[in-house]
Amino acid sequence: MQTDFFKKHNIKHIDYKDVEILKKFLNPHGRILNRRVTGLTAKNQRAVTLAIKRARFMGLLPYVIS
Amino acid sequence: MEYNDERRVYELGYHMVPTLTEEEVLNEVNALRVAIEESDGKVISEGEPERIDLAYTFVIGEGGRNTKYDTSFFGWIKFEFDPKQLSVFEEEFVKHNKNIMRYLLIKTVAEDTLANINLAELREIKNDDIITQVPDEEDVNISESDDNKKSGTDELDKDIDETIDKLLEK
Repeated sequence: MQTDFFKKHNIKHIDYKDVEILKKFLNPHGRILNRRVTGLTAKNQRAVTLAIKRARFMGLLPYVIS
Repeated sequence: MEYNDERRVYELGYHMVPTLTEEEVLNEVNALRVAIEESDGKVISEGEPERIDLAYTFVIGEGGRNTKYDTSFFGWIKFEFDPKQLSVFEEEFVKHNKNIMRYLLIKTVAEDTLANINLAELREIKNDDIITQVPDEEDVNISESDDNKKSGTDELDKDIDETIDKLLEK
C-alpha cells in the first residue's frame, strides 16, 4: 500500500514556499501528478495542488517546463 | 475555532522590484511592519527578503509600459490582523505600492508552516534501501564451491606460517 508522503514525514502544513517538496509532485513538464501516482490522501492532494498553484503565481515554480 | 472573527492570522508574500538596493528593500519591509502594527496588528514571524531567480519572466505594467523582470527580492511576513481592516491595509500599503510588483495575501496559522526536512538526506536513505542487484547464477555456484576454496586457503596459511617460522629462526 502506498503511504502518504506528508503523513510519513509527519508534515502537518503544506506551504507554497516549500518548493523542493512541491517539486516531487510535478512531472518533467511541470504538470501536477495524479493522485494515483502521488499516493496522497485526497485532503493532502488538494493542499498540494493549491500550494503548487500559489507557488506558480509567485514565480517560485514554472507553469510549463519545455 | 482557534481564531475568532476579531483576529486572524495572515501571510503576505511579496516580490519587490530588483532595481531597488538592499537597504531600500529593508526600509520598505520596515514600513510594512510599522503599518501592520499601527493598524493594531501583530507581526508573528518573517522571512527576510532575498534576491531570487524567478521561475519565469514577470511582465509588469507600469505607466502604460510593460517591464520584464527575471529576478526579484522575495520575502514574506506573517501577522495577526482584524479581517475587517485587512482590505483597507491591502489597498493602502500593498496594492498600489510601486515597489511591490506581485504579492499573495493568504489566510494561514500562527505556527511554523515550513517543513524542516532535508530532502537530500531522504534521497540518500531511499537509494540505500533499494536493492537493485540480484545475485547471478555464477555467484551462487561460487558460494557452493566454497568448501573447495577453504582447503586451498588452509594450505596457504600453513605455507605462510612455515615461512614466518623459518625467518624467525634465521
